Amino acid sequence: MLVLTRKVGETILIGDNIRITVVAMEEDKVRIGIDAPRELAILRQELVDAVRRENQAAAATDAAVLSQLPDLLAHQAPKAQKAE
Amino acid sequence: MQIQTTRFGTLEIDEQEVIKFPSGMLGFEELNDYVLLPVSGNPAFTWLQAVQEPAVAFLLVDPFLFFQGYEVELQPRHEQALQVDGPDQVAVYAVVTIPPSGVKDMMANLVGPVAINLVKKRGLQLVLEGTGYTTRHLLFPRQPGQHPRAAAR
Repeated sequence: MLVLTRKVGETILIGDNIRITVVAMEEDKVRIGIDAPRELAILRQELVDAVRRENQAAAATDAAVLSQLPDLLAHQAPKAQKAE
Repeated sequence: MQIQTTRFGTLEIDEQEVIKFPSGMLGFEELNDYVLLPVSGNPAFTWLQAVQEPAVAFLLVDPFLFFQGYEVELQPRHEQALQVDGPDQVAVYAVVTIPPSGVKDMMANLVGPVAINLVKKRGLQLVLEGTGYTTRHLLFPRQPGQHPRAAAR
C-alpha cells in the first residue's frame, strides 16, 4: 500500500481521471472528495462487508420455515388496508 | 439438465433458465449460475438457487410490495453488466434473512438488492451507496408504518 501525507485542500491523482481531495479534517475524521468516472463503483468498505455478511446468513435460510408464511400474510393484510 | 439442491431435492431445469451472475453474489463470488424457483402460494417471494452448490439458495422478495418509496437506480455500468437493451427486462429483488426467532422477524436487505435481466438471464448484486437503507429491514414491522424500519442490530 502506498501511504502519503496530504494537507487539507491537497489532491491525489490516480491515473488520468480519478482525483481524491482531502476536503476537511476534524478529530479522527477525514472528509474526502472523489472525482471519478461514473462507470466506477465507489463504495464504503463496511457497506460491502455488511452485505457480504448478510448474504452468508441468508444463504442458509431454511425452506421449511416458509410454511408459516401464508398465515403471516393473512394476518398482515387487514392491517395494511387499514393504514391506507 | 438436472441440479442437486439440499432444500428441494433433485430438480430438472431447462438450461435456458440458468441465470449468469458474472461477479457472483457478495461472499459467493465463485458461484455464477443460479435458477429462480417460485415459492408456491407466495408470488412475492422466490428462491435464487445456486446451480453449482446444492446448499446455497437465497430467498428473494419483491421489495416494492413491502417498502413504499424504495427505489433502485440502475447506473449505466449496471445496465451494461446486465446486458440491458430494452425496457422492462430487469426485475429487482431484495435478499431475505430469517433470524432464529422465525419468519415473523424476517428481514430484507435493502442495501444489496439483486437485479436480474429476465430476458438475457444475467444477474448482479448491487451495493447502494448514500441511501438511508440498511441490510436489515423487517418485512412485518410490529406497528405498520409508512417507511422501511431498520431492525435493531
